[in-house]
Amino acid sequence: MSSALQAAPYRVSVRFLSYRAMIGVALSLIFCSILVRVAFGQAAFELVGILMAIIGIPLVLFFCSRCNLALNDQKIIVRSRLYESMLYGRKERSWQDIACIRLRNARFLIFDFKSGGMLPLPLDGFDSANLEQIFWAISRFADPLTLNPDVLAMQRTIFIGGAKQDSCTQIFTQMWLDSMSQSFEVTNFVPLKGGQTLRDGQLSVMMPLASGGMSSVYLVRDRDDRRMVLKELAVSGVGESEAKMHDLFCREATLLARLAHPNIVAVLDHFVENDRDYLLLDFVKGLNLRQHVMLYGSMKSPQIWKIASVVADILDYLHGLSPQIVHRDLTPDNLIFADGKITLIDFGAASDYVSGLTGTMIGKQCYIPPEQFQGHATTKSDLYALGCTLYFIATGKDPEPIEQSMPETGDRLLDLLIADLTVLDPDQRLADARTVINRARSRVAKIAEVVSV
Amino acid sequence: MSQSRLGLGPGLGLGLDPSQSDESMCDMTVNPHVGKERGKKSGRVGGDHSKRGIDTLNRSIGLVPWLVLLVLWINGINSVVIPLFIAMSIVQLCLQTNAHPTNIIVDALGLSLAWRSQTDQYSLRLAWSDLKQVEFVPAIGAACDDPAGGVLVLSYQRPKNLFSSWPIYLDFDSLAQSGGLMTLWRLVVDARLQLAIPLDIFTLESDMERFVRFVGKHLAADRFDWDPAFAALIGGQAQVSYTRMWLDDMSSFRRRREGALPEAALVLDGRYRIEGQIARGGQARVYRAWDLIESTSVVLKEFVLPVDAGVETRGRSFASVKNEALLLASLNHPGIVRLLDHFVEDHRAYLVMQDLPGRSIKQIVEESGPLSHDMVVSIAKQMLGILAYLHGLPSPIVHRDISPDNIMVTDDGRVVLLDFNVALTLESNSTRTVVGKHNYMAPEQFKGRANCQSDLYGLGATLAFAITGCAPKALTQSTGAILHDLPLSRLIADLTALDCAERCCDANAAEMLLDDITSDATGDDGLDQTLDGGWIKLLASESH
Repeated sequence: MSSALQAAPYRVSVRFLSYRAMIGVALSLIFCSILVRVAFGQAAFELVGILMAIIGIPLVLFFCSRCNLALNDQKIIVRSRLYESMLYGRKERSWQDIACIRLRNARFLIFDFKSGGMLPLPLDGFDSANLEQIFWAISRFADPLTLNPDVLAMQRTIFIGGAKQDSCTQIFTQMWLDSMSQSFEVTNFVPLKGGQTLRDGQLSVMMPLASGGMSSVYLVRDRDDRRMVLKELAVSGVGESEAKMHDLFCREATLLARLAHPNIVAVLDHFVENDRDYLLLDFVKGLNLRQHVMLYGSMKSPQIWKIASVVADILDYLHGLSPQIVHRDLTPDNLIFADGKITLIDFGAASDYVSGLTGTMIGKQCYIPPEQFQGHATTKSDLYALGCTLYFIATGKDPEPIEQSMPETGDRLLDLLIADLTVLDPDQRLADARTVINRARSRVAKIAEVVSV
Repeated sequence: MSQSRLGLGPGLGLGLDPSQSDESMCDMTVNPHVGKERGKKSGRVGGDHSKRGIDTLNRSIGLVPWLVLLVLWINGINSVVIPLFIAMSIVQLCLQTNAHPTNIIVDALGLSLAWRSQTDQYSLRLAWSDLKQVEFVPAIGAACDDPAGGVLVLSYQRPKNLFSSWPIYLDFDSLAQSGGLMTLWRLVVDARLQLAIPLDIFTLESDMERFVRFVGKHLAADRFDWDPAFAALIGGQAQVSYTRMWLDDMSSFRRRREGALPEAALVLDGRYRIEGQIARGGQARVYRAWDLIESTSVVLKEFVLPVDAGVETRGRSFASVKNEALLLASLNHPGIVRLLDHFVEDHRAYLVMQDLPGRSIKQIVEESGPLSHDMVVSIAKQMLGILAYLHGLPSPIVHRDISPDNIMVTDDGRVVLLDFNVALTLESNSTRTVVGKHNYMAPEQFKGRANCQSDLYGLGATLAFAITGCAPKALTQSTGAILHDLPLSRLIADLTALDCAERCCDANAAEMLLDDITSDATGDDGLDQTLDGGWIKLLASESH
């Protein structure tokens, strides 16, 4: 558990006055000195004095306005005179002493202490590496219950995606809170927490991403600071069905590890530790389609056609393998959309077997075709899910469960495609992913033609 | 007089270990910043304490001694001025370092404000005997018994003295702002004092409940007129606090235990002794435990609450557990498992339920194959009675998860319905979440529109499972070759009709049908055709 990594404190420094402010101060001083010189024509030694002031004052300001923090697993140590009075002279505070960590006006990160005092840190004063450091330290050492929702949202923005500048807006925060409330539920085991290590300290947990039932998902990093996603399945191997689940999990993992497609997240490894199964996946930075739609609204038809063709291409690859792989869990939540690139992330390796064990399903019914409920998932089931996903990004609404989706997007061909994909009877659904690709290609070509004309 | 009620100085009120759970005293940390943020977050308007306001007169009173000093200095009486100036400056400085109190302590003698730092501790006690009136001012627009955002105003009346000129009104803002000597001085000696404590200043939300409870407990009810709002608040708190829910120590920094509760572990202050884990479901662990107070065997259902996504997510998942608890507590039927208690410990929520000797239908079928026809009839009869009770309540309850796992047959043949985790009252069923085991879920429930008839579908599918020994196909009417020649087939087919209009309209109708079947034991054949696949057309027609 405890490794060298854990003992090393985080060192973070914050500037109160930015470089730009420093230059401003210096320029204004030069300007003033010129004015003075023009007005009074001072002697040379006075000029030297002024020059000293021009160089000296910003330098003094620059060094005084910096605050160094050291954060270790015990406490926060503030090395700055600036906070002397705000912390009542006690500049070493233990993590237990924190009452609340909050953001104020999206400009200050504030620590409130139970025994009095506060520590406001200006967010503008951090450079991106330092900002990441301090949030990393918070997620490892601070009690998550003391974090205000906006801090949690910002933490996710920094670690998962989105640019720093729009990370604090109301809509961004709201989006994260919505997706968080959907992804954390009661569990029947105690999930790992930030800072815990696995595989003899090779992997350390940065942040839990989701948990519920008997599985959870974490953002982890290895010693070389490579980010990865770790899925955990906590099935203790006592019963017969549990042992079966464990076998299925392993078989699935080895199967997935063989996949190689630029738009499918790579499965790196799987292992067992403390009676729990783990699946290690590559980390794809960015928001998923659901979050994307939540933030920026539903998409326009050319973009939907592009996404349709990419996802159909992924499905075509999976369905063309031998043995065939049926994804079974294609939803907007499992497609990451960043910089115009779509990546399929979730293979339901955990969730599917969880529902297999308990027979309980939660929430995803909108994207599952009827034959899959009855236990006969085929490649056509993925096509139905594709149709539903397209419906979601076109309209911003989840489709009606077990019903054919007929959106009115204004693009007749797209409406037709979605309707054809979501036919309830698998025999009358579109035959395969190829058809979707062909339709999308011809449509994209036509759009390009229109644009060029 | 000052001895009994006031102690100003280091060490007073010592021996107060914040962690101790002595019921005669509680010690709570407060932090006005937290409260304000919390209020802002939920868009609440703080009580009207800002309107009542501390008048500027009271605030500027702190300046009077300095003015006197100034006058003295101008008149040249330096021999008095200099030592006085030094002394006052020191006191003012000392006191200003901890502007607002860091803790509130309530004990049998009075309410104390404490200023704590890592090196010092000052506390100041206001005795109950001086308390004249307690008023509760709820937040604007909030209900009388809703403590959130409200302010508790304590009015003290002390024996007349030199300083009894006008009443002083102090709230936490004024304590923090004028901070210095005079405010404290007036807090100590003023004859008429109103102290306003906003209820959202407590660092831990659970402390708010504790605080109100303790104030209510230590006040003699006959001594003064109860403010009706305060009485309502105390009443509301009493109702909540018996569950011991939020008294869980939220500040517990990390979880104490990582794994399952070991055998002989004690929970809830040693009340329950774990005897072993019975099962591990999708969401919860189930233990058998011994209740040391009642000397009975009980079943503990344990949910691990998520703490990583902040207080609100934890609260929301807790609310879903509490929903089950409150629902179960409101039910009273021999066929429904009885809830004995519920509590939170170590970030795990527990439901305490009666221990019933028996097995679930699923276990029975797995261990000894399909059930006999008579037994299934008996189960159907009892289950229909239970459903009739649930659906016949003033606000009908839909169980939403009737399946072989959740129906238990006790050793003496009684049927008991378990697991109200996803049950909802019909009115509140506006959420479109779909939860359930899909083999036993009615089509309309898939679409997020569960009604009472959805439970009948679940029951029909469960009976089909009990009688055939294999799980029914999802989204199909349960009729089939095995079922075909059984007398019960008509009932099962009727219960599992895909269209609500064709399904038995309620549990009573189904019961009559069952009576019909059992009375002419020959059974009806009726349905040969397999309806498998036909449901698609049916659904399509429904949607048009």
